[in-house]
Amino acid sequence: MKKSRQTKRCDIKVALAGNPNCGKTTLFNALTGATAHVGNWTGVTVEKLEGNYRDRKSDLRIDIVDLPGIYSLSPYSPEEVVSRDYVLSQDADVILNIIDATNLQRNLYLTTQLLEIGMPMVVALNMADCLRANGERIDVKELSQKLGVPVVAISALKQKGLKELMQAVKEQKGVERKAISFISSGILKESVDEIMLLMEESNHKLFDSVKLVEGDKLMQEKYSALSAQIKEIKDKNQEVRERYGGNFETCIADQRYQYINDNFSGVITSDKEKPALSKSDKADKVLTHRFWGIPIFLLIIFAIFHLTFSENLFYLSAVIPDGAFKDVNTFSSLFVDTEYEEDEEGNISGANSIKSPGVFLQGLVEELGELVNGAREVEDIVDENDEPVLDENGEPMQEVVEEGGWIPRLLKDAPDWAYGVICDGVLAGVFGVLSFIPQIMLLFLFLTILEDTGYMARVAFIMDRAFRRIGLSGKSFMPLLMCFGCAVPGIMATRTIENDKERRSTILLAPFFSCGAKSPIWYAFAAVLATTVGWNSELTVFGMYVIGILVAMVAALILKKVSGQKGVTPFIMELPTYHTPQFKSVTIHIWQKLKHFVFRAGTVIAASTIIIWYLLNFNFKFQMVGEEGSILAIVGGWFEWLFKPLGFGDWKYIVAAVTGLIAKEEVVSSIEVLSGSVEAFVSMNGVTTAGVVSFMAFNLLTVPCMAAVGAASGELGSAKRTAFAVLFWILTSYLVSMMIYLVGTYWWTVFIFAAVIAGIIVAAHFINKKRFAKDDMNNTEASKNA
Amino acid sequence: MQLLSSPIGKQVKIVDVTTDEKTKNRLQNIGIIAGCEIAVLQSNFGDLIVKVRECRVALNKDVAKNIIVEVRNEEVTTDQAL
Repeated sequence: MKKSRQTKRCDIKVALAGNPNCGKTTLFNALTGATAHVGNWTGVTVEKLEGNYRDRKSDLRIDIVDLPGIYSLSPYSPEEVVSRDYVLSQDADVILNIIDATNLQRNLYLTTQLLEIGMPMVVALNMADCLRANGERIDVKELSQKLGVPVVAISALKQKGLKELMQAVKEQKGVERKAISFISSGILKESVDEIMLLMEESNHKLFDSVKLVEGDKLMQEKYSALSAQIKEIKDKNQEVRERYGGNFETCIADQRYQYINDNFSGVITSDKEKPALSKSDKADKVLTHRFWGIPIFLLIIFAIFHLTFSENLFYLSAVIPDGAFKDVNTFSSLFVDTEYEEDEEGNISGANSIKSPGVFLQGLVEELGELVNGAREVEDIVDENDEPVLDENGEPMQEVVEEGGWIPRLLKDAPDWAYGVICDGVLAGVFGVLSFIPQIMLLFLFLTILEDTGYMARVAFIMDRAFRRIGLSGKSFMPLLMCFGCAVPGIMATRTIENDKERRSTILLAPFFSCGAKSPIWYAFAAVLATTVGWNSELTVFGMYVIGILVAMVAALILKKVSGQKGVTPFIMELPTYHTPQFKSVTIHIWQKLKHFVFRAGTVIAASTIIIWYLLNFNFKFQMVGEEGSILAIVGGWFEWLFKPLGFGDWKYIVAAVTGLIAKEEVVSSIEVLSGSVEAFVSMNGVTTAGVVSFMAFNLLTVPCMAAVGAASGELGSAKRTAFAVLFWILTSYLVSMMIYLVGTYWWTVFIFAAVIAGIIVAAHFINKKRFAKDDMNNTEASKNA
Repeated sequence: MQLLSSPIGKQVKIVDVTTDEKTKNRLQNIGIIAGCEIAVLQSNFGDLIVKVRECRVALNKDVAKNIIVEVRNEEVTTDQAL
């Protein structure tokens, strides 16, 4: 009893700080075994992560707080503010600063800032082994001496030196360490010292006064009472005025780098001449080449999508004879396509392709769904003349032809509504969502690997040029591309975009990229349109993707103009050295996503499917009726007028679109429930071809499935913004569908729409110009006053 | 000279950074600051990959335009390696 209480207590609390891409998260994972992800994107750990390390010998518990990867303790980015606030709060006992030995100077820029805070500190020198491989040596003792804190050489990747590191941390707890600064001499010393005299005694007095000299806004607010005196002290400094034009921020940065250069360049010694270009640089010569970069990238993406979604792996059906797999057993049919067609002469075509891993896994989950929740099939009993046999009440007698899965069998004698709510409502919805999981996860796996190798940062770089034109940056590209697979991981991936406005715009555009679940709609309608109006079905499907991309581009432009964003955020991004992906970090990442997704499927998605199922099966008097008389049908009927301008003002169309909120493939299945077949649905009264295309576009552009809305709401962070997003999607889909219908019906209206869109963009442009001109004037005035 | 027009593979010295303060700070943090040496490794229509203090950084054209550099006196180039 006593012991368990003891182990719950945290003995030492450590704040883990370091640059992005220096192995910080790898170290965190190695120490805590916790589920944090290592990524090469700058700022992947925006949240605060905590874990603990247990020393087996002494049963000591060390809690570790993983701070976001930062380059400095300046007040510009939220990551930096979070980190410095945490360190200054002195919640932690020891600062653990991890630095990358292969990039020592840049890493020490942060270290020297941390040293200005008077707290116990240990430096973990990571990747010293990589230096050795390059024929370089680093003098750990000398480094430790110069920094005045213990330095332990480790390899986070190979989990070496971790025990020694934790031992050093243990010894440092409670040790009084005086804050030291590089400003112990030089042109800033006097100013810093004088400001320090004004302050009360505290152990981050030095840090605060350096920041005050720097002109740090947050610090100035904190010491607003002293602002006049500080200004006086700074104005006295003639040298800074002469050498740096009075810019203290530049002065400090310059002096800091100067200091690092003067004092630490001797720590690393090299035996041999370093090649001008590393292996990584050579890879970049090809992978980020101005002409080949994009084609290579497209090839990689094509391969990923092929492995995830293809029904015909590597196009092997070209060499496998037709019908080769037509008689394989059930187990083998998970791997290969067994469907084939036979013409009158007995020639077999099909049944000769192998499934991609993604399709195979999806099939597996569907089989599982069938096993658990396979529908119970009931048929009317017929006599020899195909006439239904009637019972004594004159109702047709029925027999069960298919017993169904475990649950339907269990519910054999349950009332219809109970069977309905469990099997058709909850389980169908949950299994519908679960069946995407294999492909989403596979897509995620590939993308995580790409991210882990460092390639993703390059993709952002090569795509930046094109994306800047429409007001996004290269960092929006990957998330949007993922949306072709599924909007959920796509929206989650927007977290890597630093600029908030850009991130929100990217989320708004996400559903326009036709996801895998929407494609059944295109295939079903394209097949019908091929027979009714003779359109090439492949072109129809392709056209839907194009419509989505075009709408996204125009919407991005309009969002850019309306939000009045001036230019794009400057693109500055560290390109980490390429390395082989680590199994551990990739699996941890995938596992986290999987947990998140399954949790959603079990909660939000299940709840919303029950609601929609209820609305689709009951009337207002709580009686279970068919779809025809259901609440949705009635309410849909009220809104028919609203969809008349879109060309599909029929309640069945509206209901089909609404069921798409559960999951987009529901659209096709509810069409089948409502009309019997897609053909019957399309040939309904009063719906023209233009109306059908308009309906397709509406489904493409409108509010995505609940899973995606949930993800968006999580990333947007507020109910207000989520509501705006939903409204934005409804409006966009409504307007574009109307446009398609009207242009399809009266072709000349195309000119009106073109004029209106151009008008909006031009108007927004001029309004912004005025706004900016005003801003600029204010700015110049402000600077004049200063 | 703008960093934009610096020849590929050549070590040059930054003399001034003329971006807005926020961008300047981000450049500083990543190690790009007046006085330090920098080499353009690659240029894609003005978007650059540069090498600075053993670190590779991607910059877009707008940023690269505002980094002013000068060629060092002693001619040390890494052309042979390219």
